[in-house]
Amino acid sequence: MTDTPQSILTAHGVHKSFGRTVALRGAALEVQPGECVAITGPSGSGKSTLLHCLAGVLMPDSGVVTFRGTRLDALGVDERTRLRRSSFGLVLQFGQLVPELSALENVALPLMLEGRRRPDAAAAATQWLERLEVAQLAHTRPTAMSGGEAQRVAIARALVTSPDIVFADEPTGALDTVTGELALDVLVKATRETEAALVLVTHDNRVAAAAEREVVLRDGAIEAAGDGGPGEPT
Amino acid sequence: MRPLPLTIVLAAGRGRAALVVATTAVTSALLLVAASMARLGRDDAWSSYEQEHLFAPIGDAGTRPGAILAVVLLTVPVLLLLDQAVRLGSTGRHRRYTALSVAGATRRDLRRWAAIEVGAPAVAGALLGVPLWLLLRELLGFRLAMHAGALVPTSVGPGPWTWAILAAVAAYGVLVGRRSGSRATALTGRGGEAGAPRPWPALAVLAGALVAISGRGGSSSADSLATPIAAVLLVTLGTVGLAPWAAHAAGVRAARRARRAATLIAGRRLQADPRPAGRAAAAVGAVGLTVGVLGVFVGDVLATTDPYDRDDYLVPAAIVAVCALLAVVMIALSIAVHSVETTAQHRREMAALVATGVSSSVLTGAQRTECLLTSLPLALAGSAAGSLGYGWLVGLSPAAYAGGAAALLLTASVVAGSVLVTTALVRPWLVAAVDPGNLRTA
Ligand SMILES: Nc1ncnc2c1ncn2[C@@H]1O[C@H](COP(=O)(O)OP(=O)(O)OP(=O)(O)O)[C@@H](O)[C@H]1O
Ligand SMILES: [Mg+2]
Repeated sequence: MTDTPQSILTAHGVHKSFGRTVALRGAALEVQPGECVAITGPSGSGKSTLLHCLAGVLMPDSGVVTFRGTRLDALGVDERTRLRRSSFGLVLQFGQLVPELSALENVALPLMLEGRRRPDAAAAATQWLERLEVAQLAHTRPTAMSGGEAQRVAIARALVTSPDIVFADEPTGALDTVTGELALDVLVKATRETEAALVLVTHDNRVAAAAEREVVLRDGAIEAAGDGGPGEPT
Repeated sequence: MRPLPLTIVLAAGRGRAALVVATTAVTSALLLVAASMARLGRDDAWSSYEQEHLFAPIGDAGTRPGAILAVVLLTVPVLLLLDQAVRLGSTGRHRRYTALSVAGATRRDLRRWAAIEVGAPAVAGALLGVPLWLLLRELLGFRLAMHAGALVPTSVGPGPWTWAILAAVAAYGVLVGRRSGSRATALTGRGGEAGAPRPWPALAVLAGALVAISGRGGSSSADSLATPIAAVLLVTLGTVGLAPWAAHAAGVRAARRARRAATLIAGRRLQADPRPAGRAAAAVGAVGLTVGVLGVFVGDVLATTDPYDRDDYLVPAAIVAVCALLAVVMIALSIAVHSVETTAQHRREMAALVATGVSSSVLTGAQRTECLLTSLPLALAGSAAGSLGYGWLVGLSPAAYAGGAAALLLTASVVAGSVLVTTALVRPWLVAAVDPGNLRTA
């Protein structure tokens, strides 16, 4: 294989169609530990589909995705689910928290599924809520939160299991500019602190500029790869 | 051109219309059976009992009101399913009504259409109840009387009173339709939550208990019938009213103590939306009550009746038990359907949950827990109340205890079994609801 030894996630020749629509035609990507990659491209170019394939949510029609050298397609459904839970984090544009659960319960949920005792899970969840400055919302349900608040809670839920890699699909897309930038700062800072890699789908150039590397997707294939440009934070 | 009502009904979906027809037909047939039992009292009870070879609790004027009540209670799960049928596909209906009102229909027009949507199939169902009743009279009346005691009186035929029942069932259907119409046309959806249910209906239960205790000393024969019926009605209505509160309380308690994620989700769901689960659980409780009474009755029959005569009692009792337990299956199905609808409403959130590594079996587990959390306690309570109440009337003997215990076990296992089976049956819809395709931002 051509994998660089240190990359934790690799994708080669990923094809995915939905009926007659070809969403991905041979997309490829490598992610190094702790790095932040932005995937950009026009609407309908297959960004979300690629992200879902990388995260093992969707299985490609052909092509290989490996995480730490393990092919995702070689794992059974349950093993893949467990891998997603323990090693991946996922942040979406909106509407991802369980509406009936409080913020604290939403964040504690993945830990409870890992078999952690509830008090431990709650303690870890509280720490993450504090870190993302939404501790006061611990007992609030998502329906009573603002978009930005819900997004911070979602970020806490994605990071609480200390994942190796976080996937985010337009995490600021539903927020106004200021709130969006704040949420993005929080996401980038938090993944940096935990040394998790971050794969970020966006069509916002400012967001892409926050990444160390930007890859452009067009018609289901990677068109260009390069550095994040002048906006790269120090 | 099709007549307007038919067009409206077809627009609402054939499946829904069929379900409304079926549930109203069964309701009207059950009520006709109950009414025909009530008509028996007009003749000399013992002569009709001997002529017709009726099942003893129905033939005996003393226990007949209880039998009538049991038949009426059997309509509760059926009406529950009707309610579920009316709510089915409510998002699509909301959209259609919005389009109609944009096209110039007033809210009054919409309410009238909604009434027709449910009312027209309800009228058809009510009418169908008559042949269904006559069929029951043939099978569970004439035919059964040849082998055992008949469950449906055969000496009572259709009469003017039949129309009164049909009109009542049809009117109920129209009413349910109108109510669903005002729900669907309400400008604001059910965004905010109705507050937590309050335990006031407990007062009705208390009143029923007081009536029962105070009535025990009564001696006149009119009293001896009116008091237990009033007591049973008060307790039943109170329990039905109390059920959402109980579901809410059970949810809060389960969520607070949950160690597993599935229990946590189940409990919080009940807490957020306790009414449908509570109503269904109340119906399960009513069925439990019937089975509890039957258990003691059968125990008593086995202990005291000549083996030669037993079939007269046991066969009809078995038929009633089978009907009651079928009702449990129906209720379990209605809860499971409701739970899938809730999941489908939040399909994006649920798909996100699965994408973050929650397997869909955890969600099925949550669904199972949600169904069991309320229905199992109420089934057990209903069954115990039925056994103790009836045992108290006929005198508690070891045989009655054994029958009651058997009824308790049977009810619990049927409730648990049907919840397991129905949640497994609706699993494909649940899995479809959490498909990663639902994560798309479009
Ligand atoms: N579940 C699906 N069913 C059918 N078609 C799909 C599905 N998911 C994606 N597609 C199609 O695949 C193509 C790529 O979709 P995708 O959502 O990956 O694009 P995207 O780059 O994320 O777009 P956007 O920026 O608008 O979110 C589109 O043509 C879309 O219609
Ligand atoms: Mg997308």
